Amino acid sequence: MLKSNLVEAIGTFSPKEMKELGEFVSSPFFNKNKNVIKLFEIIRKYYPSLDSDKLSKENVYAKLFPGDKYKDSSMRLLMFYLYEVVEKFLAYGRYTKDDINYKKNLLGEFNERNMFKEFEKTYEEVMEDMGKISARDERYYMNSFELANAYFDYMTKVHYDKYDKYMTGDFIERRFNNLTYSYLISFLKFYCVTLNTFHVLNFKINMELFENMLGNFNQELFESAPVINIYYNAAMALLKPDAEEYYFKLKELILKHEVVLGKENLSDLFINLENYCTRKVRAGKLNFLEEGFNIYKLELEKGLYLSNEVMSTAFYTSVVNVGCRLKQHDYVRSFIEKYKDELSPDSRDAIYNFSVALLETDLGQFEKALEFLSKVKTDHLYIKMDVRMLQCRLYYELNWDDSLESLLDAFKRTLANNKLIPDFRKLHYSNFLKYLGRLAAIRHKADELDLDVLRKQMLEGDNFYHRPWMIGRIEILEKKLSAKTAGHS
Amino acid sequence: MLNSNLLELLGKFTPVEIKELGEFVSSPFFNKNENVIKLFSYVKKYFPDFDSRKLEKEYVFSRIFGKEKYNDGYMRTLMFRLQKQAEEYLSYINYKKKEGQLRINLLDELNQRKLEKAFLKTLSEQEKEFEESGYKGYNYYHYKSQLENLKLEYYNWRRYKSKDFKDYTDESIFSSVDYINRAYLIRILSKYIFVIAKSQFHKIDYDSKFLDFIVEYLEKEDAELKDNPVIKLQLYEILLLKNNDHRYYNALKEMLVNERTRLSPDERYSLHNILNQYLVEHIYEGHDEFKRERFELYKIAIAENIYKGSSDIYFDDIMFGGIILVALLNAEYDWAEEFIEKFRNELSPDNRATVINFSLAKVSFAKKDFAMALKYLSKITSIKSIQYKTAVRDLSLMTYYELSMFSQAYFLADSYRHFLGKNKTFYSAPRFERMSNYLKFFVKLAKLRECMNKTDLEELKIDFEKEFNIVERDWLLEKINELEK
Repeated sequence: MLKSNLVEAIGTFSPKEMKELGEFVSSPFFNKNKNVIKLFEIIRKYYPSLDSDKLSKENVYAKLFPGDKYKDSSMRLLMFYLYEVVEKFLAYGRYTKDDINYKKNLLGEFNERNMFKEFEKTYEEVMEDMGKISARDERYYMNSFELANAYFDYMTKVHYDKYDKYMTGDFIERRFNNLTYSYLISFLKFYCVTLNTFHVLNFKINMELFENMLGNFNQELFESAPVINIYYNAAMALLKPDAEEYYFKLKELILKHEVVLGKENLSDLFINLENYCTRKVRAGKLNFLEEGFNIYKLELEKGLYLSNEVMSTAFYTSVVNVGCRLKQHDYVRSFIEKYKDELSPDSRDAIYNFSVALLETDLGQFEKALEFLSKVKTDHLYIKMDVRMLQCRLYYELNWDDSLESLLDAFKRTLANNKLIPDFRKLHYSNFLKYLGRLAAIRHKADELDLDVLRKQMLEGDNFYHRPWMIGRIEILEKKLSAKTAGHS
Repeated sequence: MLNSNLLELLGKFTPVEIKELGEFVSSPFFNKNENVIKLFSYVKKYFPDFDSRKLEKEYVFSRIFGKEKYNDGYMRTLMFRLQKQAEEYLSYINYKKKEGQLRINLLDELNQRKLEKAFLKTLSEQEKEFEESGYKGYNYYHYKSQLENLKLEYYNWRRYKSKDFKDYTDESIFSSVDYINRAYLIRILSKYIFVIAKSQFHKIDYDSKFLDFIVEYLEKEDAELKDNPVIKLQLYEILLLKNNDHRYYNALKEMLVNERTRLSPDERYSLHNILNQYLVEHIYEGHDEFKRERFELYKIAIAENIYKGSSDIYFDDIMFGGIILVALLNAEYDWAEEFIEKFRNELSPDNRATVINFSLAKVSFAKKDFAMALKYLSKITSIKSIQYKTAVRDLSLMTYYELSMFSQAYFLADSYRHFLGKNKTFYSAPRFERMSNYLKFFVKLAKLRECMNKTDLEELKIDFEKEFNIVERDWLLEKINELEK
């Protein structure tokens, strides 16, 4: 019983929910089986840990039916009944969280029963509630559409075929618009998700429908629904990264319409802004480094960084990375400590250690960095790649040439065998490995010409990870070389 | 208490609902107030009429609290609480009707709590159920898109546990958007059809730019979306209504007969109405060959049991009259009488007498038993539907004419003219013109019958032959020809 769906589900309940579930199970409307109530009361005694051996099926059965011989099928059936009640409780809880939905259902019943007075009263109430909602998102427009439908059904019943009482052009347009606005926001949101995913993973999908839609998109039509235009600009910024006006328009609209976006959309859109800056920096537009850092600060300030109640690893390491590149070391150190506990417990230690290693690397404390890096244990693909690249850089800084050579070889093999990393990312990694290999090979014997050729290739060739760091290493070698030359002369 | 909102509300419950409400009120999850339970237990004895004097507030109070002094404030609070319970119950049973949403809510909650095993089990059950349903309408795509969203959320949190992104597939990312598109198209097109169809009867000015863009896009480009019979149906309905192209009529009629499983009864009912309306418009334009087609179409609707919508309790009055009219136009008198007899009890009791008397008057008139027609017409005392108001006037005028009751005819024509003038905004322009034309030609014809003038008759005939948009055009033509002879 300990590993059953039933106990697992009950284990997720808060004390308040547990109390409510007790009332729910005892409610004849949902359950009339006394043994189900008894079973719940027994399990309840072991809440919240629910890991006692006394929760074995046999033990529980003995408590339920003292003196009776254990019958597995009866016990399973009882557990199944209680689990059904738990499911009903969960679904009911979700349903009552949304007051608008609750009232929409009530309007439906009033209409069906021709209870017009009650309909009018509830309709007024729900419209007042709608007026208090600040977010003009897809749910708001869908609710507006559905409420207009309920009102239309009511008017049809009251006025029957006197269409002029309710079939006005304005009412029809509003109905169409609400449905279309809700759809367009959902559509554009998913388009952005798709494009973002496309950047991360190696997928090719048919985008014809989206492209047709966007090709005919007229922003002026949707000025009264700013969320649509915001997502349109987000999609265009993803599709046309070189046209920076989409990014700046997007940022401007987001900050201007924060209230109508609602927190969920706002977080979502800030991630889009972050990603845009990251991609620009990767493409060599270094002015977006500071821009991106400011976006992170805005997210921290507005509390938008939480996803599923945790700070994502990507957000945490990005702040560290960008902060280090901007040499804001004190800020980064305090950030690492302040937000550590907001990381998911599964990856908290790995990400924390990796971030400290990054900071120590940037501060030139290579051995200390390596010490923290050795504590990183993770299964996450991209974190593993980041750890390996940092390890390579540290071996280089510490002049551990043989270890670096072995590491580069192993890294190349891993990369060649991986089928999930998209080609453009593979190219970033393999270029990193190629150039670091060449840099390591010539570092002790390079002349000015070798370094110049390598620098040119790095700058003019395809993009790769840690390019600024690599260019920095060439500059150090050049300085050393010119100091040596000056010494000789 | 007798006239309270509470009793009015409970009066609309069925016996099963009253029993369930009893359980609802006795459930500690919803109500912990014993006095609310007592109040319900007492009032339910008087269900369904709730008209006993024993339901006076003071009396009910004494039954609940014995000798305690009557407290109106508290009694009102108890009634209010019971009413709120009844409302909560109604909202819940309405929500329970939307089974798909119930499952989505459960899945969402299981996902949020990261109950992986339970989530995957419920998800696979739900997906199986969806795949087994042959009908793919709005609800199918709406819930499927929500299901895909939940799957993406699941993959998202699960990736912290998994070593790679193997759960993400092209399909899982893309299908959600595809379902959103289909759900939207089905819903918006159905609303658009409704408005276009209504605008044939009633003037409506609205901006349809974006909708026309969608229709144009579907018509020309996206063949894949048209694979869905519901989207195809709606697109063709719009094109038929807007372009009057007979190819769409044929294609839609084929769908009406052949797409029994992939279209819902309501979609087929609505399709039948649209096809019928198309034929009506063409008959008014002079296409007499469609009269038989219209009769055949009604026979299909009756045979296929799609002569009313799934939520309609009664046979639609207008359709009933339309069927009679078409049967008579095709000289199917016996069929019409059998039809009236067979389906009379399916009409709404409120309007039944009007519809039946009008229908019988129509049959008698067609059989040239004008006295009998007048007898049936005289039985019509109150007319609720505006469509019947004009139809009864049309038939009465014709009957007066046949019976040479001209002063009655002129009197009625005059009041008819006033009625039309007062209700002009209610009708679409062609419909208004159709009725006005009828009235104009009828009065001229009646005057000529009373006082024959050959030149005026010739003029009337020339004018008449140019005009097709006239109610009862066949009858008017027959009468003009009679006068000529």
